[in-house]
Amino acid sequence: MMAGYTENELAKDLADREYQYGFVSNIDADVVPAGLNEQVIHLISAKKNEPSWLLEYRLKAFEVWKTMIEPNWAHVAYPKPDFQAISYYAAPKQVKKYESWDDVDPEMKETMSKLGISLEEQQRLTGVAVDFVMDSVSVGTSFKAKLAELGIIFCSFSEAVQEHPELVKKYLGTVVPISDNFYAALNSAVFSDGSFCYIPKGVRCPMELSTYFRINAGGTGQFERTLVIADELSYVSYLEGCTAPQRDENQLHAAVVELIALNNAEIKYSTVQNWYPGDKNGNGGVFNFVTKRGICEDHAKISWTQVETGSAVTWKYPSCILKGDYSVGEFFSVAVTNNFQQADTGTKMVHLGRHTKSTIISKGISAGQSQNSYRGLVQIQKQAEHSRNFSQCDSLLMGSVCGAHTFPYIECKNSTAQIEHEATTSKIGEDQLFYCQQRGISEEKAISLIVNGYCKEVLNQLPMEFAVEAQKLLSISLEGSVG
Amino acid sequence: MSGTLIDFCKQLNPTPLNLPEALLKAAKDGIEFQHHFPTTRDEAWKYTRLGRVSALKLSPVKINPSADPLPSSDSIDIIFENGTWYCAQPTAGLHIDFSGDIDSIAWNACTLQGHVQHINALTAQGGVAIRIDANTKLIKPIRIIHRLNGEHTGLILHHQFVLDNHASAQLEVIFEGLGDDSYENILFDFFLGVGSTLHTDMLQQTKGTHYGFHTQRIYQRKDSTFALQTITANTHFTRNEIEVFSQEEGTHTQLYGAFIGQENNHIDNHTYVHHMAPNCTSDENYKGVLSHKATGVFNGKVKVYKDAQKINAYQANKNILLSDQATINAKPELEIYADDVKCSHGSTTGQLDQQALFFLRTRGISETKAIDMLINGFLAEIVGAVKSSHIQEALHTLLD
Repeated sequence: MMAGYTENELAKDLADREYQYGFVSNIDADVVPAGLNEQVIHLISAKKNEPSWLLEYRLKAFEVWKTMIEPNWAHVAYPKPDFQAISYYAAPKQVKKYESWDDVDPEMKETMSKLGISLEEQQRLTGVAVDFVMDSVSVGTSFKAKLAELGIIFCSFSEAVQEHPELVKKYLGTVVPISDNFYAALNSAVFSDGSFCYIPKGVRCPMELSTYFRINAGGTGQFERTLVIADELSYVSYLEGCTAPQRDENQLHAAVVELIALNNAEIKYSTVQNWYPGDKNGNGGVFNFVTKRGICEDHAKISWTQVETGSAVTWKYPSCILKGDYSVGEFFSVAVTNNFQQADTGTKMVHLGRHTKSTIISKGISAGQSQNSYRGLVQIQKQAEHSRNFSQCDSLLMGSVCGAHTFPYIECKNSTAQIEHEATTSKIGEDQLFYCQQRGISEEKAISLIVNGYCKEVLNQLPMEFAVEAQKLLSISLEGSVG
Repeated sequence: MSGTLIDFCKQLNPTPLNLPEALLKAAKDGIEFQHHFPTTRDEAWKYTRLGRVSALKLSPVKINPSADPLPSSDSIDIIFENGTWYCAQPTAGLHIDFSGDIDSIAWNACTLQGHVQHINALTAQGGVAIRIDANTKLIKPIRIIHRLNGEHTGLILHHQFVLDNHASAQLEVIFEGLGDDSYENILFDFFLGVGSTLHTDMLQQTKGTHYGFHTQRIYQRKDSTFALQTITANTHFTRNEIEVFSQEEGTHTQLYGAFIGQENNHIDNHTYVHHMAPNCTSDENYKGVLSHKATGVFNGKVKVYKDAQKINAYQANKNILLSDQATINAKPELEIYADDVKCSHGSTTGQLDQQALFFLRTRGISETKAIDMLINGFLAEIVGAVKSSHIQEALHTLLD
């Protein structure tokens, strides 16, 4: 019986909540010495047996990166990482191909089962193909054959470089150019591995494609590179989930995700992010500086859904460039920050084509001493006639020492466009609680109800398989503690 | 390459007003540190280019303290005409001073932010200091009219308005005249005592290629009420910076604004409300109508400080674009460090409702007339809040 459970107690429970997925697995990692210079880039490229154009691409990015300075406009404060103290490559030593599931390092299996996402189970029960990224090299890819039948390419990035260089060369860096920003340039120079996905013309991918990212070796930054290409009239739903083991020192994660939706294609990209957020006193935790962007051609649609519960510092703006006429961009986000977490997240919707539409729904929940910011841009260019945008950014505050901030940018250069933006910030209202209680709903049920209803709009966007994981994460942080 | 801020100040006024030493130093250091005019890389000037301003060749306006008193009318008039102040006889409890000696108590409360305020501190040529005694309720409104004609003029004024405890007043501020290639930097400091009320209507309608920088800083004490309606009509370049410091409990702040831009007009509104104390409310509503190649900027920020609980802050910005060449940049921000608050903002950008337009046309109203009617309706919320009959009249002529 939890009668009399108040918001304060909920806030206390939140603060006391320990990171559930914290552990270190002892897998031998092939680690390049710390530091960043041209030699390291040559080394990474050589280790991965890359073609010369990719090495040139990396070196060019490194040249650009050297001239850039770290951005400091975000509403976050953290010790700047020492980029020379990071090792830029770590791969599990046994990179041999696994003949069968039994060949996989038992310790790695153990890791996965601790995460509750056992690959076997995934394969058997859900029908989800999992490209499991342990540190920087993919070690297990399933359902590949089934996908191959349809002509779908779903593999690790390094594999794609070897087997489909023409596709990689054609699309790499077309959405996020190397000079885009500090972290994108860094990633372009040193990216280790990631996922590659190509859906051929007219194919509707029959299953959710999923990658679980993990950071494992200590002191190793992760620089994932993801490239998803949906050819004309195709559809794909892509899932990305993150958990990381508990660490004391800060870890850097600077990924780049590029989505390309050609004419009439649709990409649905869902993320559950649960990197290690640091402990109750704000020690440790992952720095998550991610550049995610998609480009839509005519009648194409890109939909970003994210549930962000982890990381000490998050700096992430999944964006859509609505280049084609009648293209659609969507962004649904729930960001939960607790203890000393800081999140500066949002989206950019750049309307270039005519009759383009975008929707932004962002829900922030701040607890403990955390800072949670929404930062978004809606830009309507001159030629983007009859464009439409709707944005809604709500913040929920729990406890008097956290902060919730909204920084929307709206730039409109076309008189036929229609833009609506609204934002609210509040706590769980006493009047709302009173209203529920008045109708015989207990206090804890009421809080759960309100929080649940608050996020539902976004959670509903997640694919079934993912919704389970997301709800699990949220229930740990919010609903579970109440109900 | 345009000149530095130091050079810009030199051409304006070498002998600044009687300011506290520390502030002068802060302004000097600020200018030296910044050196050049900010660029669009600077967040506060992201949508406003200052290249033309920095290249202006200016000569300062010579200020004559005061000429013959004005005859009495339905308002207490203070008129600044081409360098000369004319002033009506103040009524009981009202003090008006042109000596240029800025009340140092007031100044000490201020900190200087940004190059506009730095330039003002270093080169202010004068200003009016108005004080209303405690418990005085002024019946007639105070009307300040700035009328300056001329080319290449640089006018820098620092006004001060102090309402003692439980005083109340109504103020009208008007900027007009014709100023080609001229620069204007006008700063108002409002100090509202406990329980005081001030209603201010401001009309900016200077003609010509004129660059106007208007700063209003409002310091509110317990239970005071401040309302400001800013109407910017077809000015070539206007930057309004309004900063409200709600320092004690129970204050109410209302910031309304309407900006109408045409041709190459650039109108930039920045507001910043600091909720430093609990139990306060603020209500902000800005509406823009832009045609031709005009650009409008709205950047509103509400900051709720830690422990400033029970704040109710509302911010709205609505814009209508009448032409494909017109641009609007809106950035409504919330920064909140207290949990028991209700803060919201909304921003919309769109065009005139085609159905409404059609409805009017079917009733035999010409297109121009119909558009005027719709714009009138759109702005009615703001215009209706203007108390000054003088400004109301000016607006009716403008909008018809």
